[in-house]
Amino acid sequence: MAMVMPEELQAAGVKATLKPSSIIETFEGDWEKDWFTYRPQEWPLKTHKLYDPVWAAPAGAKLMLDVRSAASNKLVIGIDQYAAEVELSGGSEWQKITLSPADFIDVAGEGLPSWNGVMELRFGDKETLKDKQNGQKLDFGGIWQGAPPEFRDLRWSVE
Amino acid sequence: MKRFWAGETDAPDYKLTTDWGALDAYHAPTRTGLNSFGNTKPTEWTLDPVESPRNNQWFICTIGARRALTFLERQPEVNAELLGVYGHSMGGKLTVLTAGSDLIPV
Amino acid sequence: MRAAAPSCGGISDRQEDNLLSDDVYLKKISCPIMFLSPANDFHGRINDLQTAVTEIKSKAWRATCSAHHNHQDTAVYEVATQIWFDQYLKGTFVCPQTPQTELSLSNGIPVFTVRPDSSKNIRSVDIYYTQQGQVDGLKDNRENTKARFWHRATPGESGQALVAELPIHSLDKPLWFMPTSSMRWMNQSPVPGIITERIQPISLTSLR
Repeated sequence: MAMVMPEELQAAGVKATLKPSSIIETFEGDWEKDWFTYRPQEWPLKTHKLYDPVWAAPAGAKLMLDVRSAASNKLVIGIDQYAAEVELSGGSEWQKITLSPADFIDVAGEGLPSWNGVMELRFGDKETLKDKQNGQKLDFGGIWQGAPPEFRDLRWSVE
Repeated sequence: MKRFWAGETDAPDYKLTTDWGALDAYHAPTRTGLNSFGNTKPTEWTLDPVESPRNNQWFICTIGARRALTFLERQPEVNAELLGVYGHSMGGKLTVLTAGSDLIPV
Repeated sequence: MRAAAPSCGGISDRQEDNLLSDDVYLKKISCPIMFLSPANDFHGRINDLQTAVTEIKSKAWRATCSAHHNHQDTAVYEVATQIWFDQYLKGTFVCPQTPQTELSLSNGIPVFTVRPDSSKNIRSVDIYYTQQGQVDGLKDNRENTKARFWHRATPGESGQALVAELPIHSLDKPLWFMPTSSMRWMNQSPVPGIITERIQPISLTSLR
């Protein structure tokens, strides 16, 4: 690891060429290297992409992605201390998912106020949100049925 | 740990933990309530009755790690010239403290 | 002690006038040392690793820094401890040399060149970089440390070297970068003459 200071970048005539993108993930090539897990033998994954300015949410955006799961399942999408549960009908068709901040709730049932400042995005089969202060818990998802889900076109939409 | 320190053996969540006797050699939560990273102040559980680096819990734990090496060195089936140390998190710090207090140049 | 492998600790506890501070001991270390330092670890922070490797006396040192991870590693990184001890305790492995690297800023987009040691079978080389790092010496922002995103550039071959562009999004933030080589190595089978590929690959990171 090494560091170049901003003054050095500017003095060398470097340009900021990496622009904000509404396409968060294509799920192609080595995409899994931009996500992480501590259980590589299982399919759930996380990423910090949404925390990077390149993939920060545009104003009024909704989070969209396409998912395909052979069996009917509950997909859990987590953002920081919030989570949303999405019903997957199962089959060979891609299922379009659209989520607003309010679709993500915390352990007390309060919705995510906005996309601003979110740090971690998670896709998984189940998770439990916990309130460390009062011990309250809220479960999402369950035991996954069948093959792992396929994902396509994770993006911000401002339709 | 709090149950252990208080001797509450009837508590349902009581667990036996490493017993350092009269010394407080834990990290967090410390028995003293002081931050173990920086503390050198004397308490009734510290080694010295005056301010001293030996009152820091990391010092005691490093002594423990060094004694473990000495124990291994004395075992007939161990090659005392080929000992390595690995540790994670607190153990990562202890690995550095142990390697940095090694008196034998390699 | 013949070798050490600290993981996620031992580099960031730095307090003036404290004899138990990490830097006091790092400066006395002379044995071969492998740092296991996930790039988003809150406890052993990667900017302090950069400092730590200038403090140790050890001539033999390496690091493995898993991008995105905080305070945990997976097997491809954890195995660095085993190969380090294989080399310095058992004498059964020779760790690849740290690759030669070079960063050029002269073409408008930062260009990173890596010349890896090809003595081991290299699966891939990735350059991870971020503009969400903190300038060393400033108070650590724990949440930022855990959440910073590492962009990835995959270099292409250019003669004997691997070259990648590192496009950035800001000229007001520092650029942190680290090349990570993922490689497989060949293990001698217990059966003479037969070489098997060890299933477990390893990732090593270059700090300079």
